[in-house]
Amino acid sequence: MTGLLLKDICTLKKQLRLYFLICLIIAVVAGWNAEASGFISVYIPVFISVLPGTALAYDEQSKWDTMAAMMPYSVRELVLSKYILGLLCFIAGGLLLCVQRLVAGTLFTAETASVFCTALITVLLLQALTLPMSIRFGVEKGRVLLLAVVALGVVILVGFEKIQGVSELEVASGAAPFLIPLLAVALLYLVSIAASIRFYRKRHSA
Amino acid sequence: MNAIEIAGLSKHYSGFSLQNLDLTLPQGAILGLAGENGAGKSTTIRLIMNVMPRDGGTVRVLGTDNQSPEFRAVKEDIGVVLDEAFFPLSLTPKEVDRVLRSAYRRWDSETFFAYLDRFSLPVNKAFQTFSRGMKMKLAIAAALSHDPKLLILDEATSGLDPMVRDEILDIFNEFTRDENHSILISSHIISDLEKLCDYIAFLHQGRLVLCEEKDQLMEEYAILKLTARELEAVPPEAIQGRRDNAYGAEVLVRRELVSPGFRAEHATLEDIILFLARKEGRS
Amino acid sequence: MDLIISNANPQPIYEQLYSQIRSAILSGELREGDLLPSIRSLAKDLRISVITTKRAYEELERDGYLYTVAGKGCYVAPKDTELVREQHLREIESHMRQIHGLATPLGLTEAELLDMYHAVTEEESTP
Repeated sequence: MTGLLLKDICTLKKQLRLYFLICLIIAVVAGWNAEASGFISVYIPVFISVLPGTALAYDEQSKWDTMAAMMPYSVRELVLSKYILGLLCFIAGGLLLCVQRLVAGTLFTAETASVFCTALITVLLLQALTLPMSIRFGVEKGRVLLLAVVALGVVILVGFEKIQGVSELEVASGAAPFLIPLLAVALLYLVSIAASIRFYRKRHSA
Repeated sequence: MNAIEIAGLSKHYSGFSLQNLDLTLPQGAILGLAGENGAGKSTTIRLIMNVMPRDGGTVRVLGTDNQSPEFRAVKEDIGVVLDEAFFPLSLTPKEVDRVLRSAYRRWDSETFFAYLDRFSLPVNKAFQTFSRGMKMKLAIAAALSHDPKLLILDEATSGLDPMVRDEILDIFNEFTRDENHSILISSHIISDLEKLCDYIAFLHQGRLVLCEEKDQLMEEYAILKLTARELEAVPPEAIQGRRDNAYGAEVLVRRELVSPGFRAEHATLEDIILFLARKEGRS
Repeated sequence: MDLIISNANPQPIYEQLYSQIRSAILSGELREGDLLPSIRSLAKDLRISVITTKRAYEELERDGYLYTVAGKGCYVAPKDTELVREQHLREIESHMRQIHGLATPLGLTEAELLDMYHAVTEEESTP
């Protein structure tokens, strides 16, 4: 498994540099525009978390799946590695977010907690939808789907803020209101893993 | 023990089917799989590694049924080089080493880097810049560096220049100095197979036309170049294939069935396979 | 011991190997009790098939030139002159048959064949 993660990280190293740079820009913008800080900084972890999809694209390009099938890996490991990569990306993005908040002096606020929760929900949702879709239909179509999901997510997010009111959200004590959506998304995540394993088997048995 | 045992293997696609294949690779031997593009060589290799479902038959690799859960551990002992599947192209050979070190239990970095050196491959260059030959060499180095007992090579020498091909054939030859080591190699470059193999199997349109010990084959068949009248004196059952031209004919014969009076020429493996393929194509 | 195996030679490879090892033994280059290279290493060194090499060794053993010690390898057998003579006679006979097969369709007489044989003997004896 470490080998698979290492392979993806090596493959993505160029992207990682670029993404890091972009996140830095987001962080600076978020720090500068204190008003929208919460809304913008959510994008740091979310942005990085699309990388597993990119890793899949590279795999497809080099026909890695065929190669990997010859190696002592199980389908479960091959699929799971992408999800673990996704979570690692979230952690990396989360750390970056912490640093940004620390610099801005807003790390230990309820808002940070809600930003984190929003980010986590978005990331899990994104990955839970894009990974099985990319595995099932190929990365190209999966990417189109990703865009659709992002658009949908933004609409929902904006709607959510409209209904709840941004200020109210910030006052709400940290993570509590997110508990149920978080659990729901986590469940979806698990279902997504099972589906991806299934799709992977199906796709490579043509 | 046999390194590979295939019995009654079948696979049907639209427009192609691999029919009831029986094939055995004894341990310590090198089996060459010849056949035109689309003859079913790659399909056979994929079925041996159980990466696609089959329509029938059994495959045992290094003594283990390849559909059993134990087969995954057996993959540690199999070095595979595929025609057109590689590591992700943005990796450098050094990164390939790091990745494979945690993929294979018996991965030996020292061996790997020694091969890279021998093949004069750069260690720190992303291999998307490599030529096809260099990519192939990298894949071969990787396949040899986890202490495999069986090498499965799908067109591993095609696209390489003759000097490099010869060097690589030498490495494969050395590999089987250990009697526990076996090789299955597919190629449409028949002269490579002639140089390397103990056994030759010839697939044609999904069917196994022949599988025989190579030297036996070379002993059995000969080429005769004759005029049309001379040809009449050759017993028809001896003729295995013929190519006519304006002045005479070239025929592939079973050596034992023609009188020693004919000047039988040595048939190359390529001659034998080409003639037999034509015969198959007509029937 | 020099061994030259040629693909261009019409003689089958196992026969080439057989006759070259045999002449090394008969000429005394290989002596009684000498250990021969293992089948596998000889095959790999000569880049020929293991099966073919094994076949040559088996025939050499069958004809009394070698013997095998299990787990150790193949050794040169003590020279049995009577056996060697017999084998050579058998080989000459088989060549005679070939000559007969080739000569009959041409209508060559025995006298003509003998003349040819004399010519060959003369050629071989003049250095």
